[in-house]
Amino acid sequence: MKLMNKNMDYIKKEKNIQKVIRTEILFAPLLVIFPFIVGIIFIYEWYNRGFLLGDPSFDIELILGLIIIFGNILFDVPFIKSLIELSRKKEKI
Amino acid sequence: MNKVKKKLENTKKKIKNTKNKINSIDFDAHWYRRVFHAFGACFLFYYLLPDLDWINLLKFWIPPIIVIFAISLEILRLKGKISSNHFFGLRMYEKDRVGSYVFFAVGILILLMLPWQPISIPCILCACLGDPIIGEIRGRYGKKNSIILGFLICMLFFVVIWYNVDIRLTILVAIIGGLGAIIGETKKLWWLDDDFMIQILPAVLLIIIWFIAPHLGLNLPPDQIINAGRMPW
Repeated sequence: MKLMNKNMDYIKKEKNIQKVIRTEILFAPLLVIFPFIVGIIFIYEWYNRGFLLGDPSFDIELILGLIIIFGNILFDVPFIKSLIELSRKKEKI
Repeated sequence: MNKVKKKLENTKKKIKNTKNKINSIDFDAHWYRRVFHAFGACFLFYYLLPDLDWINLLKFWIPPIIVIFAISLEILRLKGKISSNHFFGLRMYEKDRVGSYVFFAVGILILLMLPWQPISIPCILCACLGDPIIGEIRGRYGKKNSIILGFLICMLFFVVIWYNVDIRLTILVAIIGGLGAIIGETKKLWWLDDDFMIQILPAVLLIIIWFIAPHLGLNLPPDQIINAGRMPW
């Protein structure tokens, strides 16, 4: 069991904590904002071509748009919180 | 002499404290991996791209090129030409093995190339959203609960995509797809990652159903359920 847990550990970068934070901050806007844009495009497609024209074949776009947006929010919130926490740790170090 | 010893001890303590703080990065890499997974759902945008010749050509070539690039990076990393330090969020077991992100990308590529959207969309959702949710439930409430709740969540993805067909087929697809996803996620193999299995195993099972269902008198949904987008101009 202990061996398995060790395998699940992340590869450490003991000397370059700043580099780690930079990597995260660099990708954070893309990881957080892009899913929202994609979700909104799906919902826009449903609204523009499905809802306004009364075509139910676009309902799947609405469902997918909502799944993408809420699915991402679920993980974005703790991710951003952890990022803020990490920045504080870095300041303390 | 005593002063020097005390100073040395203090310095050692400080180094130890700093190391402990740096080791607490684990939690952060954890959420980074989760967000990366969820981000994968954006690949469904592929289906929204307009149905034009030049876009279809790009749709055919760009995803394999991205995957080949990822595989090349992994080969260089495993050969030691690129340090693992450049790959943020890798786990220890991935140090001498192909990284999960490559399996994830190959799985998504295979599914995007499938001609049946009702099969590939829920399988992609299982990998992108189901997998991190199951991981979180496992960490908080144990393995048993993660299997039960994970199965229900994956079932839900199949139900929402197959909602407009015969209810018997919806139930069959949801159960088989959910089971395939949860088995793919929980069966850990060193050489084949769960990020690959969680999407490909249910897809294989659904392809079998896809060919059997018409013989049982069950009507299938259309191959393409997402309407291709239009050019804004």
